[in-house]
Amino acid sequence: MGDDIGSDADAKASTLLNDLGEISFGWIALIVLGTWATIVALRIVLPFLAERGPSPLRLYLLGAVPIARLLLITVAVLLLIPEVFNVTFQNFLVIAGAASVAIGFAFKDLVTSVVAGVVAVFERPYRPGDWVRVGDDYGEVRSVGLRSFRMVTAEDNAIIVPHSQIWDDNVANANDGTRTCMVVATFRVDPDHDGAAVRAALHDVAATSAYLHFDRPVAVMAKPDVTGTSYMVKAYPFDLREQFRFKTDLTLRGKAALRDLGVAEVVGVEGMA
Amino acid sequence: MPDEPTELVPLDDYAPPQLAADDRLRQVWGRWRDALNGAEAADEARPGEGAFDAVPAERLDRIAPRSGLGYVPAMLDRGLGPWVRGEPGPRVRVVVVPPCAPGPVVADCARRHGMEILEPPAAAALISDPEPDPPDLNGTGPLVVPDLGRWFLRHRLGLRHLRGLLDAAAVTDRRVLLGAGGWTWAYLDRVLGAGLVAGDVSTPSAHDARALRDWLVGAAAAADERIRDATDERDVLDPDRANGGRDDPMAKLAARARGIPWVAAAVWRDALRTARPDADGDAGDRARGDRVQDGEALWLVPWQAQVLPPTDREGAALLLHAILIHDGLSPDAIERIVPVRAPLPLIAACLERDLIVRDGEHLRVRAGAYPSVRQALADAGLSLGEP
Repeated sequence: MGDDIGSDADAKASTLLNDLGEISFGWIALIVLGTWATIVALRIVLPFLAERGPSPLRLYLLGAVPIARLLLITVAVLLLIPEVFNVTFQNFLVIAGAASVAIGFAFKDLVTSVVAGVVAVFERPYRPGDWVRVGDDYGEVRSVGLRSFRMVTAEDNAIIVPHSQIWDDNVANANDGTRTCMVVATFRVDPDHDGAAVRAALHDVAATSAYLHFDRPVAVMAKPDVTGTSYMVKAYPFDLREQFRFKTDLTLRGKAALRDLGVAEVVGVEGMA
Repeated sequence: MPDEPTELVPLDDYAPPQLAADDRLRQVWGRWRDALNGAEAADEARPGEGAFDAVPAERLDRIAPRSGLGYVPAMLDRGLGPWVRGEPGPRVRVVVVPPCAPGPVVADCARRHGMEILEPPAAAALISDPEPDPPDLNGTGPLVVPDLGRWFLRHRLGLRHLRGLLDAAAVTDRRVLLGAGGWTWAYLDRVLGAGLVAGDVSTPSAHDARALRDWLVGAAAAADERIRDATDERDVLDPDRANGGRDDPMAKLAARARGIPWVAAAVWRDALRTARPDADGDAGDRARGDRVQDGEALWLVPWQAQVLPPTDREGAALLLHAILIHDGLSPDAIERIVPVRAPLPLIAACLERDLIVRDGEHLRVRAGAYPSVRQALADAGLSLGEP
C-alpha cells in the first residue's frame, strides 16, 4: 500500500515538472539574466535620457520604465513556465492550489503589494516624475517597483511606499502625468483693506513671474475667516521642477505687493497649500 | 520678384516651413546626441572647420545685408495700405513682427504711410509711475503704436502703462495699429488677454525656400559670388537643387529660420566661409586642396546649434525668455525682473556665446542664434512665442 502511494506521488511529480534532463538550465539562466540585465539597463538609461533630453519628453520616458519592466517580466515568466513545468490543465490546478496556500499563509502582504503594483501600472494613479501626496508626505515619484514606489520629498527624504497603500488610502497626484501642476500661495491679511486692489496686485504678481506657464489661467481667490481674509494665488509653473521656486517667487513678491498697498498680514499665516 | 510672398496672414495661420522627414529625423538625432554628449560637444568646431576662414563683413553684406528685412516691408505696405486709406476693416489691428527684427519694422511702415506714431513712456517710468495718466489717443487718421514691448515691464508694477493703453484703444473711435514682437504678443495675449481689443491679429507670411532663393541667392548672383557646399562641394546656387526637397539648401534654411527672413539671412551669414589659403600641406586632403584652388568661392558649412552656458542653463533660459518677451531689455531691467543668481555674469556668458547682442542700451537675441535659443527654451519647457 505504502509503495502504491509513493509511486503515485512520484508519477504526479514527474508529470508536474519536466524531467531534469529536459530542462535547459542554460536557457533558464539566459532568460533570467537577460531579463534582469535589460531591466537594470532600462532603469538606468531611460531616467538618464529623461533628465538630459527635452523637458516635454521627460515624463514619457520616466513613465515607460515600470511598463517596460512589467512587460519584460511577463514575457520571461511565459518563457520559463513551459521550460520547467509540464503545462496541462490539471497541473495548472495543482500549482494554483499550492500557490494559494503559500500566498494565504506566508506572502499575503507581499502579493497584495505586487498585485496593487500591477494595477498601478495600468491605472496609473502615479508615474515616475509625478508629484504625489501620501499621508503627510509630498514628493516626486522617482521609481515605481513591483512591490512599492519610491518618492523623494522637497526636503530630500526618500520614502518607500508599498503599492498596497492604494487599496486603503487616497494618493493625491498634483500633476497626473502632465508637465505642470497648480501652485497655491496663500496670504492672510487684516480684514480692513481694499479687496479689489489686493486682488489686482496679487494677480499681477503671478502674471509677471518668470516661472509662469502662459497657457494656464491665473486666479486669485479670497476667503474670509474670523480674524482676517485669506487670498490664494493659483497659477502654474512652466515645469513641475520649478514649483518651489515659483511658490517662493509668488510669496516674496506677493508680500512686497501687500506692503506697497499698506495691507498688514495677519500673524500666524496659514501655510501654503 | 515673381515669387515673393506678399501677404499678411492671420497669426494662427502662420505656417513655418518644415524640413523634409529624413532631415527632421537627423535633426532630432543630433539634438539627442548633443544632449547625451553634454553641452561641450555642441560647442566643438564643425568638421573641417580648420580649412575655412570667416568671410569679411563687407563681402557678406553684399550677399546677405545685416539689416535685410526680406519682403516684410512690402507685405506690410500691401496688407495695411487699404486699411490706412480708410477702407472697411477692424478698428484696432495688431501686426505681430517675428522676433529679432533688425529694425523698427512697424514704425518704418507708419512713416512711409504718414501715420501718427504714439511714443512709448520712458523706460524708467514703467515701474515708477504709481498711477500713470492714460495715453491721449485723440486725433484724426490711424494711430500707430509700433512696439508694445516698450509699454510694459514684466514686473508686478510694470503693467499699468500697458493696461492704460489697451483700455484707451478699446474705447477710442480712432483706428489704431498695434505692433508687437511674436513673443511679446504671446505673453500679452495669453496672460493679460490683450487680444480682446484687437479685431485682427496678423503677421507677415513665412519666407519659404522659393522666397529665400529669390532674395538671398539672387543677391549672391548679383554680387557675382559662387557658393559651394562644404560637405559635398556642389554648387549651392545650382538651379537644379532648387526643388524644395532635402537637396535644396534654401529649404533647410527656411525651415531652420522658421520662415523669418532676417533670421534666415543671419544664419546664412553664419554658415558662409572662405577657404583658408595657408593650408598645412596635408597631401591626403584633396577637398582642402580643391578649396584652396577655388579660393574665390564661398563655402557653406553645416549649421550647428548654439548651446546655453552650461554652468547655469536654467538661468540662461529665463534670461533669454525675458529678452524675447520684451524684444530687447536693458541690463538694469534684466536685474530687476529675471530671478537668477548672477545676472551680469550670465549676460556676459550669453554675449560671449553670441546668443545675444547689444543694440543700443538693450540686449537682444541675435537673429542667427534664434533657432537654437527657441529650441533651448522649448526643451526647457518654457512657454513659446510665434513664429
